[in-house]
Amino acid sequence: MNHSSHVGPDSEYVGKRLAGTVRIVGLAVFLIGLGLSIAAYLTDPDRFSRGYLVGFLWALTLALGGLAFVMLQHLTKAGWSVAPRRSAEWLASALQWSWVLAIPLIFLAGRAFSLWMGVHWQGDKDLAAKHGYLNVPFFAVRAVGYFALWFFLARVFVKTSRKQDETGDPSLTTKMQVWSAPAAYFFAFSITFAAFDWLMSTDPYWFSTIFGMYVISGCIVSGVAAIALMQIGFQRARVMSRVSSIEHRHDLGKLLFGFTIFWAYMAFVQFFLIWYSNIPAETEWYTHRWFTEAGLHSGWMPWSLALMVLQFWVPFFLLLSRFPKRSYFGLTLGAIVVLVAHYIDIYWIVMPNFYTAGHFSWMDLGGVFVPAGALVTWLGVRAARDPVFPLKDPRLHEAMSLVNL
Amino acid sequence: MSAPDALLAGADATPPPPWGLVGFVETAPHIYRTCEALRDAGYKKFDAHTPFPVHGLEHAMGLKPSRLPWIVLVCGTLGALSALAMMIWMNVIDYPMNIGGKPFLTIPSYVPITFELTILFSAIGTFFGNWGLSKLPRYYDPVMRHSSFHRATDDRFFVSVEAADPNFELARTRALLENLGVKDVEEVAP
Repeated sequence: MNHSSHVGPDSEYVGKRLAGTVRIVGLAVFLIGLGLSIAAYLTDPDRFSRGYLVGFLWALTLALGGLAFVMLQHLTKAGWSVAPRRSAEWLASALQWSWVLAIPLIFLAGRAFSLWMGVHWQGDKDLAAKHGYLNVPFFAVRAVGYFALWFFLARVFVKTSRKQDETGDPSLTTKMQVWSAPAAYFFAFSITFAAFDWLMSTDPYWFSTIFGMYVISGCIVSGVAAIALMQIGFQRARVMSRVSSIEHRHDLGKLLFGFTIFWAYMAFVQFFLIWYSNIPAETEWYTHRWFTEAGLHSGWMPWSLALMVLQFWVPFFLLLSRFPKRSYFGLTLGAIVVLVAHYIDIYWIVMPNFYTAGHFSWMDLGGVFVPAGALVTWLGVRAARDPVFPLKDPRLHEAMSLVNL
Repeated sequence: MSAPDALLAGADATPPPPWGLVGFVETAPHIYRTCEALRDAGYKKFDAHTPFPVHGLEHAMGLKPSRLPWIVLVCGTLGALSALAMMIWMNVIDYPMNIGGKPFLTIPSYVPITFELTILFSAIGTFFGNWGLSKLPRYYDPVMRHSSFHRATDDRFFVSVEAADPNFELARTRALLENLGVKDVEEVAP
């Protein structure tokens, strides 16, 4: 392996300097987060547990979005996406270690899921009816199952792709294509149930069958945003500019735009059916997020509005035209807005179940800095180790000659 | 000219000025170079007719970005506004009905139709906007008068230069095309 210090349009590696900077930034965010987390835990362990759940799921859904992107490209035998695929694989490879960040949740779960875990469910008709599913041992077994599945899927796609860098064997591409179809089923079902377990069960009385798809749409849109930011970073650093160009940014912009609409579709469908059928057990969840008991606007109303505006309206109008998708500034702005909105999304799902006042607290920062810092550090580690694009993918020439009409 | 044609045209008639010159090249790189040369020579009213989309040819031809997105944007916006106007007028003004105890003016229940009409108007705008920009429908195009134009759908890359181009000058343009390696350059009638 030639880790040349010279970085240019032909270089196959990100270069030690860029990878090192990413690692240091990630580590700094992680350590600041660690300090904040300890302070937050000592101040209000309940608040910190919920904030950590939100932050952990934010980072986890990015990694899952990376895996979804990889599978989607193999499913469709896409040629253009060979250039940005390695970035997605790096995100997905974080799934092999995501369980480490879930370890604190073993100790925090009682607080994060306090509305059903360990409360007197026998006295509560609804919770008793759900006890067959929502009980601690089964919850733990399922969690282990999800992480094992994601570990396995990430390993299959990332390892195989790395092996192809060495051997150039085109049959490895076929292997990944064959894997991608069953993997997509397992992936979708695992996220659906993980979303039920880790997000929906923070309000154990509420239910929505489309909730899994809603979370998957958030995964993919934020995953694409992260991949777009990574490609922008590489292109700005003049790494692999012969492979990944403005055309790939344009295509990532199209996907970001499309999945933004997909997210809005899912979010609206979920809201619409509940609003229309008007059954109190279901509408309560949305009412919390807009009104107080007295019927006034609650502190969560601005959050609901911000989610709507930032996760849909801003990226929609921003990325509607061809020019912002192709400009560094437009796509960077769109991707950052989506990533922030995705945090708001998960925060908005979890927090109103516990707090009536919708104010953000410094205690929530530690919960997101730790997983985000760990993820960025991991990306830096991968960037120092792996080539920045799949070197010997049989469709690489297709990706390099991509032109948008 | 056969005898009846000569009679019809009259003895002293000059042949009508040609619509333009049409010829072909045999490879995609060649059509690319030909278009670049025409663009650099200052021609505007010329076109390429290829059996398959040749990526990047619009740059070689110096084409401006299409106006179609603007047409679609206007149509889509009109679709959204007309859907909202229609439903608000029907549900609030013309025939208010109590449905499920909801208020008459309920934006959420208008969203699906607004969405659909936005898509519908955009699609119609794309389709007919494309017709308009391509000056369709019409029965024929003068380039089809070239004796082997049917091969544009098979294995030849045609280039046409219109006489209406200010740079056009029959002998000079013909020489330019032939120098570029364009074969079978024919004058075609309008």
